[in-house]
Amino acid sequence: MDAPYMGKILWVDLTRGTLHEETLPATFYKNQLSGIGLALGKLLNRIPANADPLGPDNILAFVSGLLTGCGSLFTGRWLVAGKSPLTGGWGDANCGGNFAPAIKRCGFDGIFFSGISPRPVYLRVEHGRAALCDADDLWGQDTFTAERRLIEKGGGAGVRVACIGPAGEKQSLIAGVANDRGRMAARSGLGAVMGAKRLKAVVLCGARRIRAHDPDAVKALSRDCIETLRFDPPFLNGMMMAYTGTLMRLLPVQMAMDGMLYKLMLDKYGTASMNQLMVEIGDTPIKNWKGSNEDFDRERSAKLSPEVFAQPVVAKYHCHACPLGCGGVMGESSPYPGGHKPEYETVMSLGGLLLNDDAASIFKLNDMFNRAGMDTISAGGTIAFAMECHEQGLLSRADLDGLDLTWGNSRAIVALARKMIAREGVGDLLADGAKRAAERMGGDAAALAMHAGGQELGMHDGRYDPGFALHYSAEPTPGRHTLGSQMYYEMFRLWEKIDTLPDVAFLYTKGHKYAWSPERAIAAAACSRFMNILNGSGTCLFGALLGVERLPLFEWLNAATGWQRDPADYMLIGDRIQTMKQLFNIKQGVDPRTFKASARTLGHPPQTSGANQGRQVDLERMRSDYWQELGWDPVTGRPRPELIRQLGLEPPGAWSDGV
Amino acid sequence: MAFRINDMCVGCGMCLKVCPPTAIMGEPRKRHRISAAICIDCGACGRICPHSAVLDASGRRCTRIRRRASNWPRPIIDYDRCVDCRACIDACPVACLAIHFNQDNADRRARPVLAPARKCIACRFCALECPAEAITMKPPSQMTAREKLAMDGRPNP
Repeated sequence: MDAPYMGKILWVDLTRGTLHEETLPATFYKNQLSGIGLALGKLLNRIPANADPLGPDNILAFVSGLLTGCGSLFTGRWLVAGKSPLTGGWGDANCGGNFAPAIKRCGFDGIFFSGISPRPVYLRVEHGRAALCDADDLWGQDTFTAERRLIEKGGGAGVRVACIGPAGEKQSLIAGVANDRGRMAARSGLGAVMGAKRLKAVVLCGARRIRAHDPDAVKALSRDCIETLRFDPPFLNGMMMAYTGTLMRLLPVQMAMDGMLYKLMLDKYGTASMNQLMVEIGDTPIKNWKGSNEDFDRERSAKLSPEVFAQPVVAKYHCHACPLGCGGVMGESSPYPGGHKPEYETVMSLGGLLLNDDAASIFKLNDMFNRAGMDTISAGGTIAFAMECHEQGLLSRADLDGLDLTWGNSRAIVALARKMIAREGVGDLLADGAKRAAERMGGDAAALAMHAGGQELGMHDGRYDPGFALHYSAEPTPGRHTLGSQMYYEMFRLWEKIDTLPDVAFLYTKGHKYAWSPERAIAAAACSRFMNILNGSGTCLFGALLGVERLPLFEWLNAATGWQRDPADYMLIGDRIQTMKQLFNIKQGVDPRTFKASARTLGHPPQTSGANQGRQVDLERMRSDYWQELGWDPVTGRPRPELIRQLGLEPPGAWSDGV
Repeated sequence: MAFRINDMCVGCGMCLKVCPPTAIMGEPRKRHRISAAICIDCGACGRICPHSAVLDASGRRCTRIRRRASNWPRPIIDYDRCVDCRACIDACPVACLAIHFNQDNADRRARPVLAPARKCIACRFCALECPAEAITMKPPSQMTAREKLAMDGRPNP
């Protein structure tokens, strides 16, 4: 029977320089899909308790999704996973580009690296033949150059590369892994793990076909999905969207978000379509989470309008199997030919968060960080921290190597970014994120570092959408904006397929939005479980935001595998993966309560003006309800023994438990 | 499943040259062998073998198609149906599909094109994997003049 998984993984022991294959039974995929489930299934038991994330015991996994390459859409995401050096717990980061199908075309669902190589190496897999190759001449090169050279060396087009840049080599804890000229699996600091292992790149060239159980059924579902996406009426521009945001902020009622609206915006401008809208609504954190939309008014946000970032784009960039193409390739006349245009998260973490409205500097920083292989969200969050430290007198101009790091000084921001990438002077202090820098500085600095569990937060404000605050603080991977929110729940529309989940009214009052209820915990847990299914199948969050009626994820899974499962069965797999992540953290000695986001981001103290004025998040209550809903202890966040048994997982007593 | 070579093989080596993953081994003038672990079932060996010595994954004997007479089918892409998702590019075992756009690209579309066309081995992987069903295969000898123009990097003749 054909199946969309390859049934094999590749193990690479970098210390010994040896490789071996492991065959996985069909039941493995049935229990936890592929992608994140595959990575967890292997790493949960094999990474020993209290392993040094930058030591030989950590294992770095590159995995592909279950649906990747089988004819489904939006399913071209690969995931890198391991123990995060940034949070000390489970770390994963996913990325689009063209690497996901390449893993499978080489005959594997995942490639796992253990140990530490004595010298810089890269792994090359060509049509099922794998070898470690010398990377001395590539060490120190940026992601663009290293990738181009590896493609040339590997025989040109058809070769796919994931690599680290200088940031990963220097083990910056906010470094990521890049693919296809600077698309980044940026979060969790896994670029540092790759750098610590002295693994410069993974180079793949394969041509194996990926087969679905029922390819005609998969294609029929894809065809319907494409028809839905063809809807494309004339469109609003950036400033009209800013006014829409103002209106949404002022109105006492809120309309449930619909994925089709988001699709139209993504189609035209990519994620940068959010730039002005989100500032006006109050979703974008401003001035290290201290400011508000009033500090970054429409006149200033207009300088970072969607049009500004669409202007140099000559062609849309589509990840593998994506019919939408939210990325953009910049043209020869731009200063960054062939590069990717900055995304919303990048623009705002290096823009609004720093009160920087100089678009040219954001293009520059985007290019620098993509080449260096550094996470723009964490880099922006850390620079914002440094700016506030400077404002409060905790970092003098001398401490900053003479930089005048005042809010919005784009020249100083670029200079500081350069130092962070090179780990020079003050850049060395800041290259591991805001929390680490605050720890090294001591004193009052900790209160100015905006993070959850050591990871800087995404550019979505929990005071605007409390769902973000909850997922930032209560998930096993803290600080991530891609795991759930009240808005995502509205857009996923899971209740259309799963009767037991609460639905959302088309219009509701703002009072209702900010009132917590047990139903919200059910919705939040559903988001977490559903995201695990997406990350197990290799599906893009933006595709899923179309809603499960328009993106037939469960149906694709059934058609591709031949399983006859209903959506609730898949949610149970999502549940298993969620609990495995938390068990990983417990095993590694993480106390889940310590992942709570910084007080300011939760409205403590509340803002005195702007879109989120007076709003506070009662995180303790939300988190305990959410943990309870997941079957975890509402106080400690530890999965309950009965849940562990019910999910067929190993009891935590089997591990040396650090908590 | 994989292709196999039977005892009709004379060891001419034509299959060996055309096999994208280099799954075929053998000395000149001796019977060649296909590594089942490496074979990708593209069928290029079967199409090129002058002695019809190749059996497909189901054990059927492959028939030679004359490549020099432009009889190997090549993809024709319907750009009205195509959604630019690159699945075809990632599916191609010989990297003969590429993204095409101009610097004055008004619609900002990044279309896949057959380039360089001569590398195409007629495996149909692109057509099989296209989720939009925008690709059909046709031998150049049967193509219209307009369809022929569409090859080698010109998406909109």
